[in-house]
Amino acid sequence: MNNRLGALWLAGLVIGMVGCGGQSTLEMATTPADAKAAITEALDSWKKGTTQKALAEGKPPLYLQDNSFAKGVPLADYSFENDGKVVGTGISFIVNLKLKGEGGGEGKARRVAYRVVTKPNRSVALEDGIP
Amino acid sequence: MVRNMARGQSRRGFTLIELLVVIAIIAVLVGLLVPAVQKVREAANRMSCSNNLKQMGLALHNYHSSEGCLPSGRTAVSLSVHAQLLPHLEQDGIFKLIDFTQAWNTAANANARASVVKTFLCPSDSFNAIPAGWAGNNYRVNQGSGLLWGLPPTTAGDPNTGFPAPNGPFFLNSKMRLTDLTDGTSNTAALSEHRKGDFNNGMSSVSDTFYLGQAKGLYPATPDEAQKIADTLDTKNLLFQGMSDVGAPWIYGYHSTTVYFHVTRPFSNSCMYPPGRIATAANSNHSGGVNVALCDGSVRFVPAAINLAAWRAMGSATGGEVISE
Repeated sequence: MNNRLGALWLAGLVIGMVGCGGQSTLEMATTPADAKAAITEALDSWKKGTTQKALAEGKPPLYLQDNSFAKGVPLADYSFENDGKVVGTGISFIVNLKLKGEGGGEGKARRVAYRVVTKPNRSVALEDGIP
Repeated sequence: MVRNMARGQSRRGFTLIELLVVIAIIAVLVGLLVPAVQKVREAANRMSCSNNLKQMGLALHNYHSSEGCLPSGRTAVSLSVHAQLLPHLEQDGIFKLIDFTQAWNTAANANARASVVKTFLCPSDSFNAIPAGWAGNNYRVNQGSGLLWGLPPTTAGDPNTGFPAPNGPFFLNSKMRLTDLTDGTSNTAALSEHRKGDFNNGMSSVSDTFYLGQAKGLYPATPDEAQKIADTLDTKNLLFQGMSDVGAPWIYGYHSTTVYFHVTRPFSNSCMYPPGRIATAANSNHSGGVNVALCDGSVRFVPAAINLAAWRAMGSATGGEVISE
């Protein structure tokens, strides 16, 4: 009996050391509800005129990665085109942005996608294209 | 009498000191053995990785023999070189799952997107957790030593208008012939490696591609400027985290999944500078360098400290540079 236990223990150790190889599945880094709350807060903050730095220094911090936001281009309005879909470990939202032009005039409309995660940090990152 | 015999036959146990000495000796032996075993394991992994690149290099030549050109760096719907090479890697089954008229992320390509191809995975990269429905990749094709990701735009006012076109063997719709590689196939890199990332834009890891361009001074005009930015980047700043899809899925022809640049030295921080400029670098978990498959099918181990000019020369297919050993 002891021999059998010993052999099992040894086999476990060998497998553990050698590794089973292959690929395992990564956990999601958000939930649909958390992701929607984070992106809504981020875009509302942009609309209100909050800066990227202030948003990142908030408690808890929220990182919105978008060139126009970083450059201080004001956001007039936005609307969600979908309820988000899983892409990678995050949720991807397609959003229609209405940016203000110089001097508060009518600016450009942009159709973009943002990838949102909330674990370990809340981050809303502009996607390279529409997934 | 019986009592005396029993006393005489009783075995003397080990003392505590003896046990401690034995444990100490075992600990010393293990301490000596473990690094040696790890070194041997890593050497074996490096050879296995080199073999994967060799297979892919040969597959490129087989593809060239059958199609008359190398596969394009990415197809019009952004499918990767890897997807195009599958029949030449004895992966016909997965190749047949791919609809080459559809993008990587469509339902039509879901099964292929999730199919693990062992040849695409470096055994030294211990990061094997991948998002559900995707399959990982450690090998990337060389787009060249220029910063431009796409083809040069012709629109007036675009910051990339007039920028030189990619000069490596693999870029958008490239389909180069071996005779087009005027620097010579043995002087031009075809493939190298890159560690997989963390797939999470809410955290930072060294293998990520960092998203710059929002701050002044972070939009490089030259490869030298890109190297300087990569060297001084604060990678812990989560404001530099873009979407984080480094190393998967292999079916996607993208600068963070299947394409790398010879703009910056191996192991430099990989960066994207919107709009349109990219410098993802080669890196690996091998000690001191990266494996590189050249266009002649040979594989070399390139040290991390390679001369930058030589590295860039290796990246361009038509630059006319001479690479010193």
